[in-house]
Amino acid sequence: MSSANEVSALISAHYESLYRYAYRLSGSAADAEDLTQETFGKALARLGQLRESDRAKAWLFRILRNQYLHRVRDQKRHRVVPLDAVGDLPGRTDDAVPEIDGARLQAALNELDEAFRTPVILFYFEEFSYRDIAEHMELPIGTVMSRLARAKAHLRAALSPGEDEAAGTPGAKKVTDGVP
Amino acid sequence: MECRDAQFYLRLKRHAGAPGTDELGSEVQGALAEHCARCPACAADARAAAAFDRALATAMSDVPVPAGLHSRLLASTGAKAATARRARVARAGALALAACALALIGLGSYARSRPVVDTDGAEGLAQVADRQSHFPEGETSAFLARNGAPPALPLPFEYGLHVFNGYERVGGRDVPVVVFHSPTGRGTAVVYVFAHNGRFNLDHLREAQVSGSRVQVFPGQGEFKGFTYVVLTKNAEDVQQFLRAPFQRG
Repeated sequence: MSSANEVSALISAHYESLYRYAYRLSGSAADAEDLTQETFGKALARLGQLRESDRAKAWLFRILRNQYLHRVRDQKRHRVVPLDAVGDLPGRTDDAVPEIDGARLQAALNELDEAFRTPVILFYFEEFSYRDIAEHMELPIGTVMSRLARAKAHLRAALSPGEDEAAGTPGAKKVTDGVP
Repeated sequence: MECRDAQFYLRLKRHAGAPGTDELGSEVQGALAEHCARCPACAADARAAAAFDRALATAMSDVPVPAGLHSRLLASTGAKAATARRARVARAGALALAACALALIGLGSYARSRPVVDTDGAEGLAQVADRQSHFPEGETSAFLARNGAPPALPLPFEYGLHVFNGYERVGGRDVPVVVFHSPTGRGTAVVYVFAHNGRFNLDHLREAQVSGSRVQVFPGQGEFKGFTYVVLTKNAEDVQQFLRAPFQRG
């Protein structure tokens, strides 16, 4: 099978999940499409690096994330506050979470630094295991667990009823691990 | 399991995943379920966490994929693949051209390194022969000098009998020779000029005669020191008949 045919097969199998991942990462349909296209372009050029075809999806996701990081490097478009300001743990609550609106979710995700956004997207969206996420982000598994817990806490707080006004407003602060 | 541990595991638990995707392990899951069964607060938290996870997982993947994206991606990568293919072909072509160019350069160098024998070359040969014919002594002198030898032969040869100057292969190496014919025209004398430069071992060189051919050895003396002259005569008694009259015997 030629390289072009192999990449065509990869496109057909993974383009939807890659696009959705790109959208959740970038928060923009245009950026998501560009990222997806760039990812398959890179995949075509680096097809020789893919030794195990059953790892294709993880490999493509990693390329996409690298493309995204390359784009946003040095871009600090949001004011940032330490994640500690949000709170580490979700408090005890009996609040039933209503259906989550996609736009609100995206606004809440956009507030998260990529270091927190990526694990939470991969965890929920693609059901990546902690180990997969750790491998994907080249982080210790404990760090992944910690970031995921804090990101979930933030999302839960942001998506709770009564938080509508805060989420997605122009003055929203970006949540990071404290590194400006 | 205490409430604090339960809260910790509830945060890590995958509540909304496919069966078997939770990484807590059966032992922890069992203990957590047992704790929630007897702790209404943690049970409520577990229900809330599960509801949140399910809602989040659903919302997370609820991203409409643009119509035509599949075709655009295929077209884009197809174009990239074609460009890459063309680049590969171009590179291969460039390599082939470079190889051809190198081959041509090599061939050219080889061709240039070979002596040219064409109309001009043939004319050159004729000119050399003509010069040797008209100015045999001077041409021989120049020939010997070009080969690093004294510009004369150690014996007073009659240059009216001179035939040509050239080279003979001896032991796989070229040796300058000066050739004369006998006054009768039937015999020849070939004078080999051996330089003592280590290219030949002349220690065992002796005079010899085989049928009509005779070899005479003249080690260089005085101005001819460092050279050995070997004269091969055919159909002639010896070298004497090739010398100028005053030097001939009788």
